[in-house]
Amino acid sequence: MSASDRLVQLEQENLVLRDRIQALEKQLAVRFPNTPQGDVLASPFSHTDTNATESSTLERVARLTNPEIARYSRHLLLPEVGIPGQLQLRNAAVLVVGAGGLGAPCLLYLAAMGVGKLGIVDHDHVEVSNLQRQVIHTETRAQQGMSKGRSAQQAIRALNSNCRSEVYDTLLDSSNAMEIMTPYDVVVDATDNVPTRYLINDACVLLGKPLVSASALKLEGQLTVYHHQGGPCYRCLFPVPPPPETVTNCSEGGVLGVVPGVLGTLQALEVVKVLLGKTSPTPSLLLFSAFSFPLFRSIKIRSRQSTCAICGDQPTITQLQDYVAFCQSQPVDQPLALQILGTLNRVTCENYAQVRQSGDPHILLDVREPVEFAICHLPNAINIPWKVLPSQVERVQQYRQGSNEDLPIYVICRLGNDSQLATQHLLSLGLTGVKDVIGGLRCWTTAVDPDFPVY
Amino acid sequence: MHQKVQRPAMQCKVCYFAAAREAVDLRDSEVYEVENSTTLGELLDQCTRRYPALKGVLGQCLLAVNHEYLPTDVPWKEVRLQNNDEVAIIPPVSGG
Repeated sequence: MSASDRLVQLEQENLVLRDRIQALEKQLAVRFPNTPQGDVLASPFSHTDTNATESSTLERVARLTNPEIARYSRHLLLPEVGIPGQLQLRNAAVLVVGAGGLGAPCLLYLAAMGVGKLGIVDHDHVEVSNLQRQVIHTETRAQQGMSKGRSAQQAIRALNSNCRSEVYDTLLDSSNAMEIMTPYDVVVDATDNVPTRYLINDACVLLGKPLVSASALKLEGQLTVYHHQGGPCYRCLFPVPPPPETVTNCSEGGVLGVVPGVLGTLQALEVVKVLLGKTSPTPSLLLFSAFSFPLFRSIKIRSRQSTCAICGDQPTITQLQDYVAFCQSQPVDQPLALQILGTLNRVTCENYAQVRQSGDPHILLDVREPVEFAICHLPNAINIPWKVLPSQVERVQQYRQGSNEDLPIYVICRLGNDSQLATQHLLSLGLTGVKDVIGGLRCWTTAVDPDFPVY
Repeated sequence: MHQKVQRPAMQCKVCYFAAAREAVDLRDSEVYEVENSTTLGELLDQCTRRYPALKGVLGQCLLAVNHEYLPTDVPWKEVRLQNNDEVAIIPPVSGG
């Protein structure tokens, strides 16, 4: 290994260790709130770019340097950008909340185009299942479980060492949002959940900052610039959060890798337009639908709503709220583990493995979608998705016919939520001997068969 | 010979997005035959009669008529539709 390779490796190890120290310090702070914190990190939640010679505070400049002129020459040749436009990018600080599918291309383009300072908020770590869309991260950093903010910062640094960056390895919430967002000119919502979307919207309205918001799921995406030039805010369009059971997220519903790529790239474009003062006078909601025609549709959304709870004429919201309570959902993109059934109607994966081993006759009902069933399933499982089960209960009963006694039914799914709902439904119809397999196939892999695929 | 004059029906197109598209078996759009001067409320009633699953989605959707959004304080029954109007049903998408 060459000396420079070794140096890169040591730098990587150093970063991972810093992450680990920070995580441990956070745990320590929770358990012993009065313990003085180590001085490894200057701020409770931020990593500044340690490569920067000065602090991460953006110093505004009046002219570009010669290297900057050479680097951004393709911008400087555009009459719409030119020297004044490039200076506006250079002197701007943009906060991107979420370094995932949307944040990845957005951050890369903003760094490449010469935005002076980028803030990155993300509390998550890089996982291998992120890499089909989160193009800012790498296999190595996924293996290390590096924080997404750190990983994004490394990519930004490698792309444009002049770009200052600050990482906030924290979950944005009502207690820190105002402080984190204040130093920035524009905020980018690249998050993956409902409560954080309302939080970011409200903080932007209270702080008077433009918000470039996008979302992506499955094959579709949406893009809007909120609270800019008299336009509406997120609450004007969506005053009531959707019921939590109707919200699908990427980890459940899937997402085609390039879809957040398209939307995140468009977010970078809208940030540039906001900074250069080139946004359309008519605000719009842009809809993207990857497999439909046309690919894009634009809906005119006119001005803010006078009755809006936060940006209306008589706002009822004057400070940040409890968004978890407001949305009745957690600020994460993973479904919560439901606890619906009592222990009587549930078995652990280990116990169900014994049932299989002993050869006791039974029915294994897998209630996942057919597309998931095709990824992997246990031998002899019957697939009736939870969505259609209520209308196909007779199919379950047909499988039981012919045996002298009612065969026991074990219900399984991916994570153990839908299987509980299905078990509850079958029990409510008077079926007996129905049991939920706790934790689903995810648990099957960890507890019984490490070779069973995880998706 | 005198023919009975039929009340001319009109056509409105409904476009479905995200969760609304899933509630209508992944259709992008559909043309509905409706009576003259039908209201948006009546058209949406027809939609939910055809697709009951749409009912649970509609409440949190943003609606647009002819590519222009309908402010949330405008009652659907007060919006008169015209021939060839296009209505879009747009649920919020929150993934990223």
